[in-house]
Amino acid sequence: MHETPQNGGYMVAAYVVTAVVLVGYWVRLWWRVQREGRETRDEGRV
Amino acid sequence: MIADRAHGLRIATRGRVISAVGLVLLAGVYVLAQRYTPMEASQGLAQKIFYLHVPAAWTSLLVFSVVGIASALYLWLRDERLDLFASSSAEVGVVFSIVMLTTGPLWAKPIWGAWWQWDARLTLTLFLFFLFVGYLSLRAAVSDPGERARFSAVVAILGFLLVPFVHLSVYLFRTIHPMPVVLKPSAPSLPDSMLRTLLIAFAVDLVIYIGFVTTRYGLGLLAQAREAALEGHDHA
Repeated sequence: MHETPQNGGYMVAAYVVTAVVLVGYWVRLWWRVQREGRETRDEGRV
Repeated sequence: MIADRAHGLRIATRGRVISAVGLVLLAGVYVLAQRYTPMEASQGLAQKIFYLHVPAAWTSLLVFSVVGIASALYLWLRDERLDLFASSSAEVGVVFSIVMLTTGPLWAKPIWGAWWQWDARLTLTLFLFFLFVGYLSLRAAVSDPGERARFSAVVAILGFLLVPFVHLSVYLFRTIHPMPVVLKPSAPSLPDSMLRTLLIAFAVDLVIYIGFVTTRYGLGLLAQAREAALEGHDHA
């Protein structure tokens, strides 16, 4: 009888990698917006 | 285009909220894939990578097409907003390509027994990814805004021309990559629960794309506002 392969670890890795890439980019964008907003405000004051 | 700090911040904030909603919905896709879809007997749990890999692949190909079209429109209309939209989309397209190019090998290893094959579909996809990384590098290297927009628009249009070859590569070349199960001339060859989950995952990826690109666009407006302020000081 054909047995279902035990490869759940690869699925978990793919789900973790996807979350890390997308959440990581979201956090990076957040940080870039904060920095750019601050610098734009400071340039406006000079 | 005169960029305004408040306008840029408003758009970026809107984008951050939309993308946060999209990321929460992505957690829902994870639950759907585990609870709602059946276990594929021959591939095991690794088959469930399909619900992340395929929507990411569709999204990146769609986004690179959008970048190509927006770039062609920029060359025609010379509207800076199109250039900013194209460059914002290209960055997000590269992010989705990273998801596609990492989840693919994680599926391939248990199913094919190898992380990577120099197969037509995989190789063309990798070239498309490199082309848009080159697009972003080119934009970072050229300081004149007009030249930067024109040069990168040409690269984006060339990338767009590669998109149909990526999709059709499974028909044009001998390949071990699975054939399309949804985007093909005949009806989708998937059980309903798998098809529904796949389409929901694609819709969620589109929400995330809209959120990311809106944030990135707002960020671009902020950068323009800062440059305008700097130029104002130089002239003063």
